Amino acid sequence: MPQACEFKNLIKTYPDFKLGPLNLDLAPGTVLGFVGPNGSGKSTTMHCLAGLVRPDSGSMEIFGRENDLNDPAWKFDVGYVGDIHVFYESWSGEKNLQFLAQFYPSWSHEFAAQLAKRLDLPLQKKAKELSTGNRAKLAIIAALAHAPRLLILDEPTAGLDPVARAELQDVLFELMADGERAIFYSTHILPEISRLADELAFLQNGQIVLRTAKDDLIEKWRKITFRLSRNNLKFESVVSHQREGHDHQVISSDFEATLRQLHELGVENVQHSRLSVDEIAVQILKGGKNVATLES
Amino acid sequence: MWRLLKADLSYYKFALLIGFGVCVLVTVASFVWNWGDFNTPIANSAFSYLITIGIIGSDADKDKRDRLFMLQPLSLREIAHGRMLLIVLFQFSILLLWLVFLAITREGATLRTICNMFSFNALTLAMIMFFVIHHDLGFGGNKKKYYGIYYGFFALVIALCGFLYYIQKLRTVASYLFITLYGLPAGAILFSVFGLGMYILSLRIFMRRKSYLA
Repeated sequence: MPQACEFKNLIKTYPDFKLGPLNLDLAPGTVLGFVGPNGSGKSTTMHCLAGLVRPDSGSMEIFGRENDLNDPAWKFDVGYVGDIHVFYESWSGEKNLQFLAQFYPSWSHEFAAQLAKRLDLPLQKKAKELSTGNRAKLAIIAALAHAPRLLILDEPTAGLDPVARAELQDVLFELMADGERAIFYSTHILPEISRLADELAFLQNGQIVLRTAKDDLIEKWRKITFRLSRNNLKFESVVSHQREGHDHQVISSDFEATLRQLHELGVENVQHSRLSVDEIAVQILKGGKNVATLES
Repeated sequence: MWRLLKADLSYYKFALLIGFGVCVLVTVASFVWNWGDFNTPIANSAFSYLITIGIIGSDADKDKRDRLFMLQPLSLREIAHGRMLLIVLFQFSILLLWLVFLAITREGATLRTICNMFSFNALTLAMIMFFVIHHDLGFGGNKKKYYGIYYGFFALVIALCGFLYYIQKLRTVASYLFITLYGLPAGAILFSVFGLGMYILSLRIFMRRKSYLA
């Protein structure tokens, strides 16, 4: 079975920024969280994948089809929610959805109506009269109503209230139930990723510094505290180290390796606790490639 | 392509009706109050026509219509034609309006007037395409280079025209090219080819854009 999406040596250069070369694949049934600071290239990657920006070089395939702008068959498989939501502004949400429906044989008016109800979106209102959150909801419905196999979501919950955000997550969970779809999900709101994502890719300065299964990350990364009088020790897999007198606090990307080393040193009273995805992401993005090296 | 045209027609129906209505009024008024030869209603209604197209174009640009179209399963060629069809259709509806009035009035229906109309129409199309190309070159990657080539070419043409007028002996050639030819069948064909050429160029440039974010 082909990958839901696959990049090979994707490069996009701007005068002050270079994305890539990126190599990435996403299997059907997977939610990939795409995490990175502002300006790291997340949106550019998504724009390239959605066909809104032409890369300088490299190839992209979606379910085995090259994302060729002259042969748009691959777009039937794609639902995109971008950083900006575009509509016929003086048309109602409903009229906009009707306009979009004509392009997709698989469009379900019933599903669109159900989603609007679940997300509490007034479809009769003109697009230009909708709040930021409601515009995001309309974009989400437009992206989902034709049952795409690949969802490209670029900060899809920006502007959504917590209830709508939770509802969207439920919808996405339900969509993923058949195991045939994939979601390429970029967000700054990391708790969202912790719930949805199976895998995480961390992007920094246009490069993927780390790609890993979310569960592995949560399992391996720990905060460890201990007392030790010796100085100048180099600990394995430690990405951050704070010391106050004899009290040490380290963050390890492989806590078992670190614990082993501490036991060998005879350290006692070692305590460790899990980190949230949010905390891990901050460490990874602060550490950049050094953390990636530790991981590999 | 036709679905895009249908959507645009439906979306801009009031702007189009008002624009067309003003063109009709101006043309009728020109005849009723005898504002001069047939070139007067052509020039007056073209003004209303260009304002309408300008409003529609600016609205589509503000709403990032290209981006909306690019997200749909349509080929670049379909989108390139689809976004221009409304303009072309509206332009031809105005040409049709002029032809109808010309047929009604009869006495104005000389070959020269008809050629004037076709030449004017083609040049108007070329002018609109000039702005569309300018817009799309902004997304072509190396903006400075492309704008340089584009405006450099037109500056060269203008300089050449100026040169023709400047040289006394060539002035007859220049007035034939820019005044007489305008009202001749050969001129109408030549200007139509130029208008069509600009249309095709605008399609090509759209299809080579590096970005469709706006």
